[in-house]
Amino acid sequence: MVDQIGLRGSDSRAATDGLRRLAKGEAGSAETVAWVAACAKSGLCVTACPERSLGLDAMLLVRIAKQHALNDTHQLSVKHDPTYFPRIKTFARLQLTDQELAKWL
Amino acid sequence: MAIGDDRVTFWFGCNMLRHAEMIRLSIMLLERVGYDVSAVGGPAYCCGTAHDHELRASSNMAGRTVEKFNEGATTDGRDKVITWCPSCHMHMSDIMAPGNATHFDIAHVSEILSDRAERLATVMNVPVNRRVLLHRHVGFATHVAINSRVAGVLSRISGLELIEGPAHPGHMCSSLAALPGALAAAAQGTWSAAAANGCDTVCTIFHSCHRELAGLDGKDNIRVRNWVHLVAESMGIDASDAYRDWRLGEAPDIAAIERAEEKRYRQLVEPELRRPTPLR
Repeated sequence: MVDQIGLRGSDSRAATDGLRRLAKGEAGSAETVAWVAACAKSGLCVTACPERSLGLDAMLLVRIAKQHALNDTHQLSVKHDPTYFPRIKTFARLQLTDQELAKWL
Repeated sequence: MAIGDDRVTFWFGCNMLRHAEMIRLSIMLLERVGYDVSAVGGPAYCCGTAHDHELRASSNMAGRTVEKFNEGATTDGRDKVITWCPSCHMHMSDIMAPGNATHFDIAHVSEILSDRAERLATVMNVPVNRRVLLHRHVGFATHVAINSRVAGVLSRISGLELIEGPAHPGHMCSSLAALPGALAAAAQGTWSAAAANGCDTVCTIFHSCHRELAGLDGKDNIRVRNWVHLVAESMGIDASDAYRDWRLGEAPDIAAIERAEEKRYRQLVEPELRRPTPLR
């Protein structure tokens, strides 16, 4: 993913330091914000993390950092899709039986 | 507890409501291996993972869903929640369960079915003569060995030759959508590998990947099926796939569109069904 978001060759220490900052509600570096925004949940960071043996779940930390970047430091803009559930419900009504609709919607 | 007494909740998530047949097949497979299944999903059982920008709302949704599962465990003996969606599973494991008192365990449907593969194999009696490339991602392996679990079940199907495709980034295709070029690269990688290996079928594991690849069905004489479709075929069950058919240009029947409200169908569903495939 580093190629898609232009992070190839970036300073990994600076990027991971930004994770700690974001997790505390402080602003993270541009590299860190790009990283957390692009997280596709591959989980490769979990095994790559040198502090895994101490119990650190890097993917969870990225997730928490993203939540802070969205809600506290506002370094990420919210991409809310108001049609998300209405679309799912419309698909459901096309295919489900009355009994299924009553139970699942 | 005897196998026939196993009572579980099958939590299929919200986006699976696009794929009614896959929900029904999953329920049927769980029942065939001995579970008493109560299936739940949709917005009323939201995990909250899509609401990271509204943490209070997300937390409330998660708490409400956990509460319902707890109630199922304590009043109905359903102390195991079986997931389909990897996002729901990871959110439950990482956020919901640590943040709420839970009275149930979780497991993925692939784990449950592969653990009872011997029993499942007794009803998989119809040869499925396909050469199948398994569309895979590297993600979710932190929680469930999904690729090997699904491959293990498919390998029980008589006549089916299984080729494990390249493992793409992310946990399923939807996670790549926001990354320029990533989704197209994953689709291209899978399709090229299928063609190079002489496969006639690409098999998806998750609904999101199926949603992306279904529109390619028939291209280069390669069909697209989900793994539960293939297991059903091996049981002699007709595994239809309305979403794939709609992506290929068919339309739901008029009565269904009217039931869903035509205006909503035109505004919300048609644009998704008519959008270009990841391979132009």
